[in-house]
Parts: sequence; structure tokens; C-alpha cells
Amino acid sequence: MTINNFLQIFISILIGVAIDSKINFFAIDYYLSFTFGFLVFCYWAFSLPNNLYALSSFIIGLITDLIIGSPFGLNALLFTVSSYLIHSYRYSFKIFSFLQITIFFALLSSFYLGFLNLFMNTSNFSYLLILLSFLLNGIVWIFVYMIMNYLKKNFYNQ
Amino acid sequence: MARIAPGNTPKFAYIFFIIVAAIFLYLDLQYKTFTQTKNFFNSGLLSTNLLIKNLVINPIANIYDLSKSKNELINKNKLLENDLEASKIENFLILNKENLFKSNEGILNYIRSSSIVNTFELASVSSFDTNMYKCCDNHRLFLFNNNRPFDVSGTVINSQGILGQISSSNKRVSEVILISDIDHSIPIKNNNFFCNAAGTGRPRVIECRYDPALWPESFELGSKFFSSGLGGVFPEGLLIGSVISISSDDGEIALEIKSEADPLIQNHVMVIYPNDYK
Repeated sequence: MTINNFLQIFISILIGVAIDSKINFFAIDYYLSFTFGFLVFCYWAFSLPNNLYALSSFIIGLITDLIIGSPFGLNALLFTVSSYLIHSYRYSFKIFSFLQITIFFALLSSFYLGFLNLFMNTSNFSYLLILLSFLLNGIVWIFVYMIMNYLKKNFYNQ
Repeated sequence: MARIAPGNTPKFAYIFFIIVAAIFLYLDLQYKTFTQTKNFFNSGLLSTNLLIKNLVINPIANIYDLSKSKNELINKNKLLENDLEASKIENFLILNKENLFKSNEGILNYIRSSSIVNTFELASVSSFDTNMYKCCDNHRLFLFNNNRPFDVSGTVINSQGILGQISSSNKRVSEVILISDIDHSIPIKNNNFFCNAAGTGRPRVIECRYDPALWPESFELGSKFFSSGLGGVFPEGLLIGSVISISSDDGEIALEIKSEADPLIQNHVMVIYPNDYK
């Protein structure tokens, strides 16, 4: 992976994180929480399994921690673990239907959200938020997949 | 049959970075080791944002206005907006001067002087993560420093009341911990009842717990609470908020109080050091 590729991936994740922070301000009132940034990261790990390994996931996570102000290392840990899971299942994904893949990433984003809330919102932890966000992020994954696929085909040079 | 974990995933690298990330997380949560790094990064990010805004975005946004000769009006409008916010806060100060300052000299000096003095300072909000404010336990906002960093423990108010206190400062920005932050508590009172109200991590909501065997007082929804002045940080007698929910838990009564001051309404706040006048 070249630096240019890394920057493209990184910027797309940052845009996702920025969209999260704008939308979640309103969505949180309805027990919903988007994880665009995380799903964009998952998309890259899913579609480029040979490019996004432990070190790049760790670095992207650390920078995300600095930007969103979460405890230092939290996103790094979650991104690295998610990257490992996605890499472990990368051959299995080939026989999965798109619905199964969607459920996998919706579950993964729910775990991500659950852990974020566990560390950052301990006193107001809400299972309802996690459950509703599971459904929401499943739907969001479909759009993220389509949009990122289009962008990858048109702008990403391997 | 699908393979669950194919062989060529570099497990060692993953395990290594997972352990490193977990150590970082532990150090940050337990010892706040990376607070300076985060503050430094935030300052850099803010400065870059400002620079980009002033050098790139504002000139482009103003091109249309310049062509229409409205630039002057827009600037005037911005100045008026700032003055209005400042005067709202000043009004709050004047209305509450008895509570804020034990001696009238301080407030009178302030009203007479045109320049900002150390004891009362207007400050503009440099950044406030509203998403974090609504989603999570940590409720912090950052202020641009004026000539020097704000003193730690200065009380931060807006035109509605007490927002929080300065928790840390560096050369460029100062961090304010809001009263609804999970790590914050503020001494409050209602007549002869005193309590330490802790932040709940929910916007504008603080919680006061007490043992009914020790305090026989009973409260109803809407009961008003004021700052008690105990602890020496916050001024005494300011309206903090009113009770929105009463529940009992483990033999204790928990009062949820909704704060009067909303940090989302203004871009300017005032930092005061009322204890200097006690």
C-alpha cells in the first residue's frame, strides 16, 4: 500500500467520523447512533484485506482517538480487533450472501458502539441504543458499501 | 466448507498492537498519561482550523458579499452579535451581583472599566464537541485564552447561569468541565438542605442523592436549588436548576435537577473569580 493509498483510506474514514459527529447530535435523541467512520474502515478492511493490516488499523484508530476525544487507545484497540476479525473471515466472506455480510458488519458495529459506550458513557449505558443502532447500521452498511464501491472503482488506484 | 481462521493472517502483529492499544487505554484511563498529548493535538487542530477558516474559507465566502458591498454590514452584524452576547452576560452579572460578589466594589469597578480585567473575563468558545455532550459522559468545552491562560477553578457562566469551571489551561486554550460532566460535582442547597450534586453525563442534568434518615426534607418536582458556595469555587445563591425527577434507590433518595444554564445557546461565556471578593 502506498502512502497515497493510505491517505485516501484515512481521509475517507475521517469524513465518515465527521459525518458521525454531525448526525449523531440529532440521532442520539431517538436512541440511534451512526458509525459511518467505523463502517468505512470496515469496508476498506473487507475490500482490501491485503492492505489494511494491524499497523495501519492501529494508527488510524489512534488518530481517530485524538480527533474525537475518546480515551487514547480505545479506537485503536477496537479497529485492530475488528481488522483481525475481518481478516480472519476474509475467505468465508466469499461464500457469504450479501445479507449475511450485512448482518456481520451490523453486529461488528454494534460491538464497536457497545464498547465505546462502555468506556465513554458508562453511567447512561443503553441496550436500546445498541439494539436500534444494530438495525440502523445494517441499513447504513448497504449504502456505505455501494458508495465506497463506486468511489473505489473510480478514484482508488491500487 | 468455509474456513474460520485461515493461516496467513499475521497473528503476532495483531496481538502485539492489541496489547499496545490496551496499555495505552489503561494508562489514559488510570493515570491520564496522554492528556497533554490530546491537549496539544486539540490546540494544533484548532489553530489549523482557524488559519484555514481565515485564510481560505472566509475570503471565498466573502467574495460574493464584497461584490455586493455587504461586507461592512456583515462585519457590523457580527460585532453586534458579540456585543449582544456580552451584554446578556453582563446583565446576568449585574442581576446577581449580590450573590456573586460579597463586595460591590468588584462589580462596580468592572462596569466602570472598559477593558477586560483579570477578575472578570469574557471568553469565546473555541470548540465544543456537541456530539460528545449529548452522547457521552464527558462534558467539556474549550475556551480561547485572552492575554493569559484562565486560572484553574474560575467559574464559567453564560447569560443563564453557571456552566462549569475551568479544569485545565495551556497556552492557547482552557478546558471547562461542565456541571453535568460525570466527574464533576457542585455543592447546592434548598433552604436548609445541603447536597453535593454530581453530574450524570446527560445534558444539563445533575443528581443529588441523600439519606432520608439524615435529611427529613421532602421535595417535589419543580423545587428550586441554588449554589451553596461551600467548597469555595462557585459563588453562593445562584439558581442552579429545578427538580425534574425523584426516585428512591438503596434507601437513598435521588433528585435529578435540570440545570438552568444551557451551554449550547451562546458562543461567548464569562469567567469569574468570585472568591477574590469574599
